[in-house]
Amino acid sequence: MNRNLLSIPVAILSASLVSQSFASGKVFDIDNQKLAYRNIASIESVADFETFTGKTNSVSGSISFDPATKKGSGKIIIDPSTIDTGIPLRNEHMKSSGWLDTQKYPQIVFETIKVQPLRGDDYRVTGNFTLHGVTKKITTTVRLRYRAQGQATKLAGFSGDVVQLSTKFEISLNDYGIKIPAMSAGKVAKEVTVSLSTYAIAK
Amino acid sequence: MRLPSKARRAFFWIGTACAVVSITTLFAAPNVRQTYASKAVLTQIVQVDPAGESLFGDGATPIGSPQLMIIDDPKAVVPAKGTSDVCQVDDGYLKKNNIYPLQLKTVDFFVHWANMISVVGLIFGLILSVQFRKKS
Repeated sequence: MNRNLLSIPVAILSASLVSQSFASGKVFDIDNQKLAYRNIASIESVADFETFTGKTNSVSGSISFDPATKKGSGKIIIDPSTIDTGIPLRNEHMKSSGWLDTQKYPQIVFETIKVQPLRGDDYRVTGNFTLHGVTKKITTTVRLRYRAQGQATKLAGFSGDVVQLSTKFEISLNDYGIKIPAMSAGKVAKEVTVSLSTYAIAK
Repeated sequence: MRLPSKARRAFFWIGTACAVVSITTLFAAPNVRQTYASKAVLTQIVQVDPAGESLFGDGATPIGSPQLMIIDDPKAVVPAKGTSDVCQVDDGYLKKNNIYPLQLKTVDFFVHWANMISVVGLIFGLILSVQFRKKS
């Protein structure tokens, strides 16, 4: 009887500790070493000649997220010099000064300004997107899924709580100062879709 | 100025050859397109990650959007898990084996331009051959 009575405050205390740790939020770092292959940033161009996708696993940054309050923020950095389109010559063109100019602008950055929870794991996120040295405010839907450390995270090769973030939005290359040469018209679209799928771990 | 008969004959045959090649192309192009179209499948290139399935049920991450593609190597195809009509293809396998899948829209693009050039070639060839046939 006494033991049962004692267990109630202990349970309340531990529940409160758990809720406090959630309320404070956690910082999840994007693993760009061992499990980097799981982080995918891509740019898709749908043109008359063909649809091609440039892909890279070089994604870094961190996400701050509180699963209890569903509040968070984050900054994600993509290395454009590692984007692979499947054709080496096109990769070189993409890096050149006429296109992404990766020597001058070595990072593509997305940094959140405002995060609003929608339904389930979906959030409406407004942030600054920087490409080719030009920063523009964009709003997109982000799916952020959370898994506390356990058997599933261990099986997947993660050591800690995990969040998986995925989003997709369209941008106009012209808005970011990238002009498509007449020679490439029909091969590269003016509007491209930027997609991101990345995992981050709280340690 | 009147061209020598040898030159006129040469222009006549160039025009005729141009017209014949153009007609052949105009007839062949839809068949070529049909051959590729019969092999094309709606394909989604994915990055396979079996370990990731235990977390959120995603065993593969899509890269880009589904496209009509011609996949000649069946080993590139990821076994289907659901009832989706979209064929999943492993990006890692494609990269490892230097495979760049042909898209049906690329075939369409070439067929379209082949048809356009053939129409121009046919008109040009007919004008050339008729012009120099009349005067010879």
